[in-house]
Amino acid sequence: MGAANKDHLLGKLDLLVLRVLACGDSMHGYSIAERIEQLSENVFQVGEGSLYPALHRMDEAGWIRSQWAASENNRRARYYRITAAGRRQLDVEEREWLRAAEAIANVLRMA
Amino acid sequence: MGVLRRFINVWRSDRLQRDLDDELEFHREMGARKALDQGLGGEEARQETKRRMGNLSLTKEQMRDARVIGWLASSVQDLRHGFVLLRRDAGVSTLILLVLALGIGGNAAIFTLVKAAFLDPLPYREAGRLVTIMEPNGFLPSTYDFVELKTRTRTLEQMAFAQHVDMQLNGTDEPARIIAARVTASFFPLLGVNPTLGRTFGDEENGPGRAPAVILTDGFWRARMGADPSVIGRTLRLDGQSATVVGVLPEGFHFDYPTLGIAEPVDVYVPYPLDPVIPPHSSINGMGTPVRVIGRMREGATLAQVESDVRNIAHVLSYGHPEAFPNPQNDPSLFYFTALPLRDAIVGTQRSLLWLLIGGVGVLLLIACANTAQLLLARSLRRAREVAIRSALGASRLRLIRQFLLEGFVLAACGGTAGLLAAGWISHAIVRLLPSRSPLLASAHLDVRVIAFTLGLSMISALVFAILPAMKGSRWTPGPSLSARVTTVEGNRWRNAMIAIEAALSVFLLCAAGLVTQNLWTLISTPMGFEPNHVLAMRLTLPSRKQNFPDPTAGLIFQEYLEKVQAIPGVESAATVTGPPLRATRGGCPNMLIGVTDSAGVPKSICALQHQISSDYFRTLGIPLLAGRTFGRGDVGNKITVVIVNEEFARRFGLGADIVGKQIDDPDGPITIVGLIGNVRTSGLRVSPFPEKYFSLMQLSQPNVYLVVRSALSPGQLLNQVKMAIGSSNSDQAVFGVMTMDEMVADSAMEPRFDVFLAGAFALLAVAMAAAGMYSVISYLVSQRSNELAIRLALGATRSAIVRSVLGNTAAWVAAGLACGVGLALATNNVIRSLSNAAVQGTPWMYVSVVLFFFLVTIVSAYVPMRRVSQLDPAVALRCE
Repeated sequence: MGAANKDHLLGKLDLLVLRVLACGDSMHGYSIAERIEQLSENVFQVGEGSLYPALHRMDEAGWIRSQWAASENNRRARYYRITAAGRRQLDVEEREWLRAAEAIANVLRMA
Repeated sequence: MGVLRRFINVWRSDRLQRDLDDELEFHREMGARKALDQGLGGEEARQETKRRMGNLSLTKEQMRDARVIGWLASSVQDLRHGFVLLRRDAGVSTLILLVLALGIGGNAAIFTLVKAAFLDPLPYREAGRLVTIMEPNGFLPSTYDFVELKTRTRTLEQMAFAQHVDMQLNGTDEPARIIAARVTASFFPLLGVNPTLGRTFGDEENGPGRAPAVILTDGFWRARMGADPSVIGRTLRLDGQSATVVGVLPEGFHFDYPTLGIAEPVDVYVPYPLDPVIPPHSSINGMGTPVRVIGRMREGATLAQVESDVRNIAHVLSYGHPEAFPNPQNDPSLFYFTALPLRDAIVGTQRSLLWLLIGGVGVLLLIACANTAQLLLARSLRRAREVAIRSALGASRLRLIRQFLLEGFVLAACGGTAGLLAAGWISHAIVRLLPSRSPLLASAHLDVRVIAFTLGLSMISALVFAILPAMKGSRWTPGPSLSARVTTVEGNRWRNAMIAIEAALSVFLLCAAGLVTQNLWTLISTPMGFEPNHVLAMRLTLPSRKQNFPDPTAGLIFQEYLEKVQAIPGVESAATVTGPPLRATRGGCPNMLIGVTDSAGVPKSICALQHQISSDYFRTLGIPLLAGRTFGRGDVGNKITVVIVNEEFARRFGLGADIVGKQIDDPDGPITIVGLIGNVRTSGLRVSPFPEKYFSLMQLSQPNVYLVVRSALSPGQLLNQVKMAIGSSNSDQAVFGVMTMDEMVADSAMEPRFDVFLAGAFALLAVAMAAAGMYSVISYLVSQRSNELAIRLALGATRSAIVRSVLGNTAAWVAAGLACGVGLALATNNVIRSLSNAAVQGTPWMYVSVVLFFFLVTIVSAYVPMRRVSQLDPAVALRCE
């Protein structure tokens, strides 16, 4: 897997994570992954190996904020919440993705 | 914010690690729970989660990388690695640290002293504008000079003087001798000192007819007055007169630097009784009262302007009063004033001491760096495999160099910290060892500047000693470096170069030490011109308003004392003198020689030091009378009619052999030369002979003299007898400053002796380090080649051929280093001589013995490793293959 390809995937992961977080309250990594899998009807299997580095990177970038809190089963868990900057970033990425998807769809249709 | 957190995370990687672990563990647990819920068995669930978790360590590293500042984190890692290596190689590390701590600590200590001498503020207001004014040849100006300077100067805005005298104190517990400074009222305002209690002096207090006032120093107030807060208004009895305490000075104030000629700490200050009319006398003519003159330069005035200002004043004075300010042929070398920044005057002769120290510790640090570089080089090459593995795993050369440098910085930082801790102690030890009291250097203290200097120096040293091992050690070749057997001869040339440098530097220090030793030897082995054995000297002072001024009654009083002392059984002879050998004395220049003219036919003007002696002086000190006679009972009266001069006087003024009978023209009439005596070392050991003239005590006398007594009695016994004899004549007469002439001689050699001690200590330390360096290099060379040598031995090479092949290269390098060191010493010969005040030239013998000594050290340090070579058993060595 080349570096460019990986970046592309990660970019998509960022978008999905931000989108999932944008719908509501803070979530921990596991439930984020679960939610993405659920919403994509198990098309995307989100591996921890890419999810957590992405979460930490976005946290440092200021798109999301993390906080330690007790989980539903009373374990210490890190919860992530989207920030205003994150929402702006989501907007940008979402628009870019939709444009790209549309363009690809157009190409597929027309060719 | 984010940067700050990432910065903090660098330093708490444990906590960061724990958080990451927790987060991933939570994820795993959740996964396992879900797998259970989906009906998978425990083992299956674990397998499933494990499969899904993938390569966790890589994930964690990526997470951590997002959370820290990358380059900093890797540097910290390298530093940790450095510490681990230090601990692993504890022996070598301790050695390096000790050497560095010594080198850096020594430099930090000397910097502390240099800072105290040149940078730290003096305890006076705007001390940079303070100057002191001098007459030629280091004579202090007279009170008359002071008044003239003060009224005529255009560049000094304020002037003051101080004169330091012994006084007898009564009225506290017991009679005591104290040191008083007699000052003008302007003294304290000029220095910007405000008393903690009471007031300073008013101008009118320098005039006549005022009740005497006294200001106490803080030390005196605490020691003698019990720090009494209501001390103002109390009276003390000083020299039999009541004086009212009017002020107490602040604790930090002092003006008693031995370099300014103030041998002992001052106890009290009193106003100087200035006469309304002062007769015109300079102190170089021997008649004026010498005082320490200080002045404050006007805002914006330069030292050069002050200098030309005071020189002009000197010209005006010597034209107005040619008899008192000798300058008959307008010869500016005979009389002038010179202005010296007060700080320069205070540092004085200690400047050369500081230079010696700076040079010594600087060279020591260089040697320490060379040694450290060598040890690190050996270690970095031993780590060739580690380097190769790290390179193979993707570490760049730059990263490797950085790692080596960081290890160097760790060493330097530890060494520097240890050095800093030692610095305060070392500088105090040096100050305590100093041959004379030095309030300036004693005020040395560690501060931020010293810390900054030490850290900076440590980092620079680290660069100096770590760069070579880093460059050499980070280089690797894929094949051989990874194989188990590392037989690198990499860096041997550098290793040899390093010991060549060490040899050069330590030989350089040895030469410098040799030079000061030779100087000391010359100083003490050159004849003194007198016999110091069995002579006791002590000081006598008559209570007098003007202590350094002619007093016609003094001669009679001292003559009476002398008769009593000479009557003591066991006393061979006794005499008084104003300045005994080796002690500072007074000038005397106003006269011309009758019968001896210069090329223009004008009588020669003369300038000579003058003494006032009693008739038995030459016999008492064993100074040879070469022609004529000494003073007799007939040489009395209120006028000087006879004089005895020394050989140098005769030589300098071209008087030839028939000197006796020639005359000196004096305003009061001609003075006849009646005797010629040998040269005596006059002002300290290091001064070459100066023209001198001796007057009779019965024609010119001062209330302040030395009594010298030659006797076979023990000094203690003699002193008691002398005190009793003088007491029988005047029970109030204090006798103080007692010293044998032998002690005086030893005393005057103290400074050059201390120089020898210091230079010798530096040189020996340097040689020890160089020897250690040579030992370790030669050992390394031997162990490196032991297999090869064993094979050669097995093939029949002779042991001497082996020794030659191992040592040949190194010996050549050491010889080159020796040559460079001697060359350096010869090239800087004049600098070293002027810095150490050495009057001698280094003899070829000195240089030859230095080289031989170092050669011997080389042989000794090569002996052990070479013995190992010759004991090499080919069979054992080859079995290791």
